[in-house]
Amino acid sequence: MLVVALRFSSLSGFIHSVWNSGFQMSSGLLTPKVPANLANSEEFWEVKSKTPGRTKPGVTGCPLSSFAKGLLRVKPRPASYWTRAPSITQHLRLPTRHALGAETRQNGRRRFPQRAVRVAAGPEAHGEEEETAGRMLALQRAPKRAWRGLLCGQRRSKGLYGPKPHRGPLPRTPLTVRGPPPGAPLPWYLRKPPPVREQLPELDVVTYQEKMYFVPWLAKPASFPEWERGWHDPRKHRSPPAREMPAYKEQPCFLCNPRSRLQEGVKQALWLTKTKLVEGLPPQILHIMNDTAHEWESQDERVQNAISHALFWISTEELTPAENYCSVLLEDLLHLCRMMTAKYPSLTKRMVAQDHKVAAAWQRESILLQVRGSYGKILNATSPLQPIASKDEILATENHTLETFYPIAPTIDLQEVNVYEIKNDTGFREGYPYPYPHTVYFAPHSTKSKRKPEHLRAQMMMFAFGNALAKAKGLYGDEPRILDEPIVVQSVGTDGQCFQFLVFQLNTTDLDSSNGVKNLAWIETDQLLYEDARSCPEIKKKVVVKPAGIHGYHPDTFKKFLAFYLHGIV
Amino acid sequence: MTLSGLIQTFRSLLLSSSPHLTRIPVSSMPISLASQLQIRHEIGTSAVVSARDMLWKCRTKYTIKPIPLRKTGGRDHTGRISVHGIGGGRKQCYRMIDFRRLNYEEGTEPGPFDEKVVQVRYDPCRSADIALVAGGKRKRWIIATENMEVGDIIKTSGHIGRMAVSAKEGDAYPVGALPVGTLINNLESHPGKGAQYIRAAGTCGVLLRKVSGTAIIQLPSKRQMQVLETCMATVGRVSNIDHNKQILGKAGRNRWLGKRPSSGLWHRKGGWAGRKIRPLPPMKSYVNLPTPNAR
Repeated sequence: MLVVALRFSSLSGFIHSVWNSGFQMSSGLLTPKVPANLANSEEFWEVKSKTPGRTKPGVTGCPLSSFAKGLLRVKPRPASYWTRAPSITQHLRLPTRHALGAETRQNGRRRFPQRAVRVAAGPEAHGEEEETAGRMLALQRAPKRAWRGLLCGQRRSKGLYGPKPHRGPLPRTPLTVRGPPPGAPLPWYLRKPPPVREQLPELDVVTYQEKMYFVPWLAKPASFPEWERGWHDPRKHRSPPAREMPAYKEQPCFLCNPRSRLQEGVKQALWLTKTKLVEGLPPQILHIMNDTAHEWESQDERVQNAISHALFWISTEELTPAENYCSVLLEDLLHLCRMMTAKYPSLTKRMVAQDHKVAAAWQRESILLQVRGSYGKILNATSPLQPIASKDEILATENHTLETFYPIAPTIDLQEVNVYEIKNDTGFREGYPYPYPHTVYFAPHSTKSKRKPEHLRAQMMMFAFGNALAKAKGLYGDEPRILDEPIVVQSVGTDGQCFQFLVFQLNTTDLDSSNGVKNLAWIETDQLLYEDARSCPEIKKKVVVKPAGIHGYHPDTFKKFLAFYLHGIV
Repeated sequence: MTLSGLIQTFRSLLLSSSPHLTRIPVSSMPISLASQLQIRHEIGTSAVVSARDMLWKCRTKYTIKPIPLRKTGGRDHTGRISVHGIGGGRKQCYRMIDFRRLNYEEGTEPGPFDEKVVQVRYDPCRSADIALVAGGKRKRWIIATENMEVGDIIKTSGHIGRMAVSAKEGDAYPVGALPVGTLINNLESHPGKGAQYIRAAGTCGVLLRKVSGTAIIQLPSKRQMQVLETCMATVGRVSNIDHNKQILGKAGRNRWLGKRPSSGLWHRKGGWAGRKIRPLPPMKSYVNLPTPNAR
């Protein structure tokens, strides 16, 4: 039995001649052009595809011209032969093993060689028995074929549904290095022949267009109208391409969101916000910090209790996960600070908001920048903080030159978007009774995105600046100007152990040029609240090296935290 | 518990249920259409992770994020073993290395540019170390050279001047711009193709001579190679020079690296054993110079 294997991917001129002699083809499928008088005739010709499971009954048989007959050398078969395997089994006379020749049994494997069957059948029944042997072969192969059909191609690894897995060598990407040099032709195994329909445009293509639904064995129509639901389903919403959105703009905007980690850290934030950096805390805060009148009795013990609560007491685990204890520790410390209300009643005019969204936009050397998104907590007050630097100090910042960091662009690691709107919003409504931002608190939400302290400081600066700028634009309008009353926003960031303190003073909203008055920022970095905390003691050689509890408590850190809270009241 | 007990009690009162049936534990496998149709694979709503589907490698967009690798076990896309002795080991991530050093950032004009080394680290996918460099608005991974450190500024230029440049280590120039005798690495065979030669740890090639628009380079195998002078190469030696001196210590460390032991079967030593003396293969030329016959 000769089976002509056609690989549709590699059509040759040989097959081309077959096509001209009466074949039609849709992708992966042969469609016979059977004339009416030949439809019932006994003689059918088969052309089988190489993947056996895909051969369809009824569509494989096709009358051929005598030329193609000679070319293909396919044996004539009755039409019933080409029905599927079950029907073959029904009327198949299986020869027993005894009927087979001795050679077959010697062979050991369960095969039915054609010659053996011929010998057993004798010369008179030759034609019939040969046919039977062909069927036998088909039967023998049938389970294997079914197995292969089940495992081959897309059904092998994916089950029935889902995208078709890629077969063959991997395609080339713009980053592929191996293979031919640019401009040279691809090797033969990577070349893709054009689709059959492009090669032979005169072919009739049977598509499932008229069916109005997907049929796997019919070709995909060229233009199938997309089905419309007739109503808007929000779950199936498809946004238009970015260029067609109403908010699309040609000039890109660079967003600083709570997830962005600035590569150059504080240096980059200083450039983006046009700020001069001062190391250490401003004298006003140091004064509050060093004043013993603002302490209460057993302050250190209470703070250590707060640490223990956050680290050990809120969970039954050995150590509380960082994302839990950071926020709990911040809450506990804020709670301790709020206890000063008894001493200073004006502390009641404060309000803490969680996860509010701030939006501030500005332009820096003709680069559009925005601060967007929600982060930790913000403490609002009814009255603004007094400016920290005097007018002379503000004017003295004119001589300061901002540090650049060539070859890195200042917008590195910021999110570049084209669909945006310019917005300045403090995140609170017009008549909010606590309109002035006082302190911004940062505590990491998750430990998945590990942030270095440098990145945290940069983020604190960006968001303190964003809050101040949104407030300034609300107060003084969008016109760039030097502010009469500078706006001060403080910021405290923590990773559960190490605290960063920042005071930001917005002097000017004229940020486009790098000359002129700059803003001011005071930063105190890496203040440890405690050096080590462990829930179980460290034991070496049966000797307790470190007992459980908090070690190396630094009382100054909480004093700074408290001074930031009391700033503006005392 | 009480509720389920109550439900079972009521169920046992029903005519349709026999007391034996109530005790049959409900199988954890859901009744699926697939099992009834005798399809071996479950119908999954999400994409099934297949080790053979290696399309995760074919990203068209560059990213510096580590991409989780799937272990192949030495199998190729047909599912057959193409490389023996591979399997298991520590989970690894793939970092996309930009082998086209002269890859201009989008929106910038072609010309020499500088980059700053941000990070130098180990890479599981190769013997050499890799460096994260930042320049302009983008970051990319490249193969680190011997003395590359964080904070270094490296230069890339595609210009061939009249004079040879005095290049620092880590800079990338066309081969024609470098002085003869320079140690180079990360060499490309065709201009703009991407570096494919001299990338292993501690290796370097030598620029032997420059002949009429081409350059001849001695590869680490001492074989010579002729390329066009516009091919890019990095100056210096590839990092991790002590790679060949590392002692694994035990057989298990090879398993950590994903290498399986060789067959324990005794093989008679054949022609592969012992010293061979044979001439170096001839110079490999990647230059299509017009031959006299073609004229």
